[in-house]
Parts: sequence; C-alpha cells; structure tokens
Amino acid sequence: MPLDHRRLRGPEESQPPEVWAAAAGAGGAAAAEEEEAAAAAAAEEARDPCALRPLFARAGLLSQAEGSAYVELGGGTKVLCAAWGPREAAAEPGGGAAAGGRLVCEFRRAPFAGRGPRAAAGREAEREAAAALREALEPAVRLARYPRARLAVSALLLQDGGSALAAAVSAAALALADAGVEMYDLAVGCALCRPPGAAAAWLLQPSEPEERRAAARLTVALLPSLNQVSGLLGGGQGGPPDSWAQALRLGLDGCHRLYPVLRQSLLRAARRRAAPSTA
Amino acid sequence: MAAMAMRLPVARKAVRQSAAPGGEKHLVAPGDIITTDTGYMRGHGTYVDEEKLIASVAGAVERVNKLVYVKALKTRYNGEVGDIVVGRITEVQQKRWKVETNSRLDSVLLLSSMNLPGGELRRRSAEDELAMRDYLQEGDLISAEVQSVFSDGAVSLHTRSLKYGKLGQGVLVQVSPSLVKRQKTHFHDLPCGASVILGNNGFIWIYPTPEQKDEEAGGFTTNLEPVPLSDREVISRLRNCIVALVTQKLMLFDTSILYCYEASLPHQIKDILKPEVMEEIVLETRQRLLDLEG
Repeated sequence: MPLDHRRLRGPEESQPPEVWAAAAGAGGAAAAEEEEAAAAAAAEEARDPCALRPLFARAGLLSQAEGSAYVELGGGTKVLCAAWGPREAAAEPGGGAAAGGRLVCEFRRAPFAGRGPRAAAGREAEREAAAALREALEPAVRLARYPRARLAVSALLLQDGGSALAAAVSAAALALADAGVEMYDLAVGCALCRPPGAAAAWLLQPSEPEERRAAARLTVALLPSLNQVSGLLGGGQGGPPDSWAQALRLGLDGCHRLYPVLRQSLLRAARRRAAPSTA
Repeated sequence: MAAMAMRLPVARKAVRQSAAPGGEKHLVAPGDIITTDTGYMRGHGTYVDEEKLIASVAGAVERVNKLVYVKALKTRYNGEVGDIVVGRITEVQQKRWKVETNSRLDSVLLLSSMNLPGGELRRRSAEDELAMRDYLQEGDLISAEVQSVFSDGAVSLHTRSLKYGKLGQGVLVQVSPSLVKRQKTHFHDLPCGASVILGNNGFIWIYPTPEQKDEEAGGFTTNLEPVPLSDREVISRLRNCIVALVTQKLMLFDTSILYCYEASLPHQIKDILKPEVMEEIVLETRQRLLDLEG
C-alpha cells in the first residue's frame, strides 16, 4: 500500500493533554485563578518570611565560554550565566583618563521564561536588569588590574520563578570567578518583597505569584567577606522607612546564608578543572 | 550509504594518578582569607586588606619560601621578556601590527622590530609603511620573541632573527599557557619527521621540517609546495598526541611529545582522540618520563 505523504501521521498511542497539565496556563479560566490565589493565600500564612529556597549552583559547565555558572532556586528560577575574560577594548575617545577595564553586562529573558505572553515592556526591563547587574558586579571585580580591557558577562533567564535578578547576580559573580578574573569577593544577591496590606511583613526570596502580587520589591547584592553592599534595586509602596531598613537587614542576612553554597560550588568547579579530565 | 561508527557518551570513572604529588591542594575562592601573617610577600592573585592577605582568583594557594600566590586555573598569557610566542595578526595599524597572543591585551609588533626581506638593516621609510600589508596581513601567523612589556601588561614583540617570521603550512594547536614548559629552546625538530614550535603563550605550531635552511629568506617567503602524505600523517598524529597530553594535564615539552608520539604508533591516528586510548597513551608517556628522571 503506497504511503500517504500528504498527511502527518501522529504517534500510535496518544493521550489527552489534560493528563499532563499541571497548573492553570494562559488558557485557564478565572476559576483556576481564584483557586490559585486562595491556595497561595493559605500557603502564605504558613510561609516563614525568613525561609530561603533551596539553591543549586554549578560553575564551569559551558565549554565555549571562559567562565560559566548555573544557578537554580527551589521554586523554579533558573539562570545560566557566561563570562568572557579580558579582551582588548576598542579605544574610546577621551577614555584615557579612566584607567581600568570595563564590565559589559547583558541580561536576557528566554521567550519561554514566564507564564503567558511576554509583556510588551520586555526590552526595557531587560536593559534595567543589565544595568543593575553591572552596578552590583563592578565593585567586586578588580578592574584596575585590566587597563584598556573589556570583560563581558551575559545572563540568560531560562525560567522565572521569582527572585530572578538576585539569582542572576550570584550566577554572574560565579561565572566571572570561574573565568579567572581577579575579584575582591563573590557577589551574592537576594530578593525580598512585601505583599499588599498595612501590616504585611517582608518576605525573603519570593516566588513568582508572590512577586506578581507584591506592593514593594527589593533586590540587594552583597560582598560577604568584605561585608559591603554592592547593589540595591527596589521600589514600591513599602510602608514606613523603618520597614525598608528592616528589609535590607533581612536581605543581608539571607546573602550571608547563601554565600557558603556558592563558594562551595566554585571550589568544586576549581577542583574539577585542576584534575585531569577523561573526555 | 557507508556505515558509520557511533559512540554513546558514558560516565567513566576518573583515573587517579598513582603518584599524588604533595598533599591536598588548598583551594580558595575570591574573598577567602589566606593568612593574617604579615611576614609573607604577596604575589599574583592576592590583595591586602587591613593586614589580611585575601585571594582574588579561584585557584590553589602556592607557597615558595616567603612568597604566597594563588595559581589561577584559567590564565591568560602574561608576557615576559625573552619568551617565544606564536601569534595571529589582527590589525594593521600605522607603523605597527596588532598580534593576538592569548593574553589580556593584544600584543604589538612594531615595524622597526621586524626583519626586512633579505635581512637588510636600514631605516624604515614611508614606502615601508605603505608596504606593510605586503609583509603581514590580517590573519597571518607569526613566530616572534617578546622584546619588552608595557606598563599596562601589553607585550611588544620583535622578529629580529632569521628563525622568526611568518609561518607557512602547518597545524596550530591552542592550549593553556601554563602547560608549556619553559626551556632553553622552543623550536624543535622532532626525529619523527616534523618540527614543532612551542609558543609560551600556549599556541603550538606543527609544521613539516624544511629540507634546506634558507638563510636569505628571513622568514617571509612561505613555502606553498604541497606537503607529501607521509608528512601530513606525522603532523596529524602529533596534533592528536598534543591534544591527548593537554586533556590529561601533562606538561608539554619536546621529550613528552616525542614519547607520546611513540606510544601512539600502534593506534590509528583518529583513534587517539578516543578517551580510553588517550588515557592509555598518556599513562605510558608518564611512565617513561618517570623512568627518565629516576
């Protein structure tokens, strides 16, 4: 019997997609939204505001970039970062006085990073995030050691589950250290958010639904060994100024707790690099 | 359709070196305190903050008498006067060429540091400047020696000897600069039938041994005659051996490359790149090198 080339033959066994659908997607009805909000609200009361999500970090995984790092947070935030070591920078006019190298950061969201269609202001948010990344990393890198050189860092957000910029800061610092760039310290990022309400407390490392419904957000980057804050980005209605100071303290504490995990992953990558590879 | 050999990646056990030199390496991350003792001199990869010596790169701490430094595992080439380097021309500027040598900044080859064809010594005129592109274009490979190092770390090269100059036909292998051993001479004519230039910057050039040493050429005329098949096979085998040595983190010098070549002779050239064959060859090489020392 001649094969029918005009039709695409599907697989022999097929199952309806509802079996695999986890939470409500873009096609979810309002009922699904309500249900999710109710469930989240119930879970929130039980959520410890100082709880850190489990963090997985691995450095030195890309072979094509000089340094690379992958950071994953418990709720599904995945960031992949690559760094390239010092290259000769194109001579900029009047840049002779500014001794020291330049750090060029790029932040991109993958098209499949968030749920639902991408917001129209995606490009602006990416540029703002890249500027914040650069601001957080510059104090950590010894740019004075690389005159006329250009260091490049590129962060790709694979899945946004909340606290994306904070994860990107940690991943970028790990990637730069993996590339052999001289740094004063590793930069660790932590995000906070404050849900709407008069007496709401600041939550550490919010998940995506919490971040979406938050009245105020804050991302803090810290250099743990030197105990210096290198970056601070936030906004919203946070209540009295004391609550912002309290949020900052909470964020710094979170950074200090995350630092050993990142340091361990860097040393493990260094050990792997030093040992003779088999493949 | 011809049959193709397929191999699936499999997790393999890492082969532990039998002779473990020293003890566990002291690995540090940027920001780690190495020591608070002020009696040490600090070297590369460290900085001082409030009387504490802190690491600035991720690597292993090495101590030589009073000097403490952190050996970063991924380094660029840091030029030193007298090193032999192999580089690629990236730009032709006024009175100089920019050469890429796997370092932080591009190296510089001044027109006045270059040998003119015929080896003549004279002042470089405006015609020489206009004819720069006839000597070296973008994309050419050269071998040169480091003349001096600028304050920002850029390296100035010179080719003021007949053995340096433009490179003709051959194979380039790029490795990490820390794997090339410093020796008296970096130009080797291997008895297996090829010659090799071990650049200190990690660029290794393998080329067929020229029959007669032309004295007048000055390194500008590139020999474009077809290379015979036997020479090509030798060069390919050498290249695969060097790749094998690099993956097993063995220092590269003429003896190690030669031993590795001899150990690889029973295998086919393309089989050398298989992981298990690589391990076997390098193990044998390491054994012979240890016998040589002891």
